Amino acid sequence: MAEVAGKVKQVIAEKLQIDAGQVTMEASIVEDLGADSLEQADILFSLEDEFGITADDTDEAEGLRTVADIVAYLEKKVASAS
Amino acid sequence: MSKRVVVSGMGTVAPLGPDVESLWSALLEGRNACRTITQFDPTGFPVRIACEVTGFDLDAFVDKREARKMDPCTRYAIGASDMAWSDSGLQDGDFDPDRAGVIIGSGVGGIQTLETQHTLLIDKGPRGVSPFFITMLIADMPAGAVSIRLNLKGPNYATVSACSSGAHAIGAAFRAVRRGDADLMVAGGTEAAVCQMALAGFANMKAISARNDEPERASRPFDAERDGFVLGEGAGIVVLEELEHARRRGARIYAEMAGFGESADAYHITAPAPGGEGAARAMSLALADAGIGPGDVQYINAHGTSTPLNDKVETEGIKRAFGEHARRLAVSSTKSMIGHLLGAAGGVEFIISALAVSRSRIPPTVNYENPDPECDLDYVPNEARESTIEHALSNSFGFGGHNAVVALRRFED
Repeated sequence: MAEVAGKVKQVIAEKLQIDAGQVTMEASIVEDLGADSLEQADILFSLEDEFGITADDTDEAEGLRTVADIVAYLEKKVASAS
Repeated sequence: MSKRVVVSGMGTVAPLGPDVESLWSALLEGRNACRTITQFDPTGFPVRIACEVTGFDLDAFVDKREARKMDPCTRYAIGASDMAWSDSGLQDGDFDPDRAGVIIGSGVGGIQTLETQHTLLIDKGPRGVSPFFITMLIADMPAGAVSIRLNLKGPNYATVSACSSGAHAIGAAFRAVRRGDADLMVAGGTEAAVCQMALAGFANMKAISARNDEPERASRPFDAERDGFVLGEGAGIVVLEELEHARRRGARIYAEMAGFGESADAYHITAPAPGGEGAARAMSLALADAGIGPGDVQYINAHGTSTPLNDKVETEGIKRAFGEHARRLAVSSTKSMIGHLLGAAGGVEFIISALAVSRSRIPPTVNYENPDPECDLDYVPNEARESTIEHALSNSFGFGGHNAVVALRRFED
């Protein structure tokens, strides 16, 4: 679990070129961390690649607001894939 | 009544120097930028040489987060535009952003991005393609990115005409200011096509010199032993400004842009129209637009690619447009030193021509060793020359038969 969260924070920090310390679980990707829509898609694609999963392109992926949302989404995907 | 347009800022990211002054000094010294390619391993390619940009520090202009969403052609354009803007001395309050635009030409836009992303598509499938692929690919993005960065809200687009893209951008920007649609325009060209596909493509069409073992002797415009151009990359961007607007803010003015002429060969996808007929028309139109005659011109910065066909046909075109006066012209090709910057050539060469006019110095055509009876004009061989220049032309001709000629006039207040 911590593994997923750690990776998510690392990828977000790298893509947005911000300090990893800013990427808290409560942080909103758009409002707090300032990602635009392309950067959001880029983050998600990278994470899918990292964890070897494919998003379903459902509303679910679009509803992800915070870092915690993304972590929960990926943990679910990783669990169902294995 | 049409307005007068002057050059109030210039910036280059080019082979031979990371800014305008170092490029200009190197050109006057006759230095050569052609080397074995370093940005990828050219082993196995029939041509392995190019004039690459070196010493350009993008981090000084753009933070990493933005830079990774930019193809090199956009990065070069940002660097050159920033330098041109800074050179112009323009500050907030000096101008109306709604009346300041950006037109930047490029032959192929984000071709390096295309190469990289295509490999990802093959290796990882459709979801391997970056969400930034499209915005990094399209050839208008340099113009868009510069307008975002400098907050310029006037006319904004790219011109595409292969090797005359940069010149066409400057011509379009000139007209916008002259017509009163804008008070100032950031204009020029950018190209970052020193990549595997372009190198292979140009080599297989036999357009580029294969002098791999003597790179510094490969680009030799007008010389009898020329065997093709040398691929170059970079960006050349200027600030064109309405004269009174520039005067009111005490701008330093390099030169006046006096006229622009354009035409099409309507002949062949690569070969120029025989006799230089299309080129001659563009030159004559530039003279007419500037309100001058052949005898008023002292210098032509030639297209001078170092291909067997261009150099011969351009010579014929100059004679056709200038008649007897052709013999009294100084005609030099700076592609002999920095190679062919494709879509950026028109921008960088405009800057070189403006400096020649402003500083009364003509950069040479280097590697001129074997006179060709079909190229018998004064090409300023090998050594730079001091010369007062009232008017200069800068020629750019592109695959597809596009001809674009700029006329510059010495400016004295």
